[in-house]
Amino acid sequence: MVGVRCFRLVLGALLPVTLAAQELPRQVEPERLWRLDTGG
Amino acid sequence: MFVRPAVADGVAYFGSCAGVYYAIDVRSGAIVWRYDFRPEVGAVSFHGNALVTEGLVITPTDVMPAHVRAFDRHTGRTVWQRSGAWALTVTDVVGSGRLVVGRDEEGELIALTADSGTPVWRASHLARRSGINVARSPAAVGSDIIYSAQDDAVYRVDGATGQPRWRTEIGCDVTTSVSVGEGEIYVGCSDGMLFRIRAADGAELGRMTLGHPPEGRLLVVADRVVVPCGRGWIGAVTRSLDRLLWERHDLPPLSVVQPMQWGQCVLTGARGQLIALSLADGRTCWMTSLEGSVRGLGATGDIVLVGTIEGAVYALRGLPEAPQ
Repeated sequence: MVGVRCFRLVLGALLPVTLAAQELPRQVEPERLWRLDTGG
Repeated sequence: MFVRPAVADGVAYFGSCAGVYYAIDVRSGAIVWRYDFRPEVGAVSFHGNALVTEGLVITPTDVMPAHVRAFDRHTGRTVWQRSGAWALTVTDVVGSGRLVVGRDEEGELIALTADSGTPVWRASHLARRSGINVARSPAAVGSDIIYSAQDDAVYRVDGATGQPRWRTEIGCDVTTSVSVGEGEIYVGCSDGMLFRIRAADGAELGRMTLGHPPEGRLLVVADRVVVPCGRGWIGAVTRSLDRLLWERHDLPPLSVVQPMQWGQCVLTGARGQLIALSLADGRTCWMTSLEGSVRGLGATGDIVLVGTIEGAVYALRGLPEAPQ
């Protein structure tokens, strides 16, 4: 039981970081009010 | 566009790396005025953020000789300029009645009056080596100025006189601008260390090893500090510097050195993408495709301004402010 609890603790600590690398980014299409080409 | 556009009364002010300074109506994109530096001084670019006062927009330029120019922000008329044999890079213009700007040549800060550009003091006591530049821009706290110098120390000086209030040795080369949040100062170092310093007296309140040298501008938001580290890493730590909250090293090479808060997200970017990460846990809130490499970011109301290395500037509306 202790081993399982420890495993869960470790997993819980790692989850936020590992999830960040696994998700699929969502593409959004905002309204483009204007575009200015400044040349550089 | 490298800089963070200054925005006042619905007008955005920024310079392009092609040598033209613009005042643009944020909603319509109409050019209110523009000033072309090229006939006067040749190639010029803008890497330090401008300061907007009641009637002026005051921008640093980095060309030889670099100078600081104050425009009437309604008409674009030059009210004053201050130049000298300054070297390539100046810092952000910060301050209030007195403003300061750094020059690279001798690692020196110069304070000017905001209304006329008259020099009032120079922080010559700091320059052991050269190297103040835009990446190490100072910050204003009230009427005081806080800056890092390459004598491996952070200074707070009286903005009116330049007299030091305190100096805190941190023992490594500062690689970020000075970021201020609720009486605390954050700077990052070349050895991957992040420092937390009390603004009132310069006492070190904490330090943390990141393993990645922070670069650019730290973003202090609520209980956390977002830290960009070069092109391949961005993360967030607690303001007490006792814990890494999240990190991302799986993103495309990041081209933004000045991440910006957007609601519950932090905006950064890469080639072809504006990227929003959750401030809470670093997950990608959303991405949107743009032509060019995202560089300078700004916002006013519900509009986000995005500048690219290639020179295009976009005004975007309808971007989510929370994770989707």
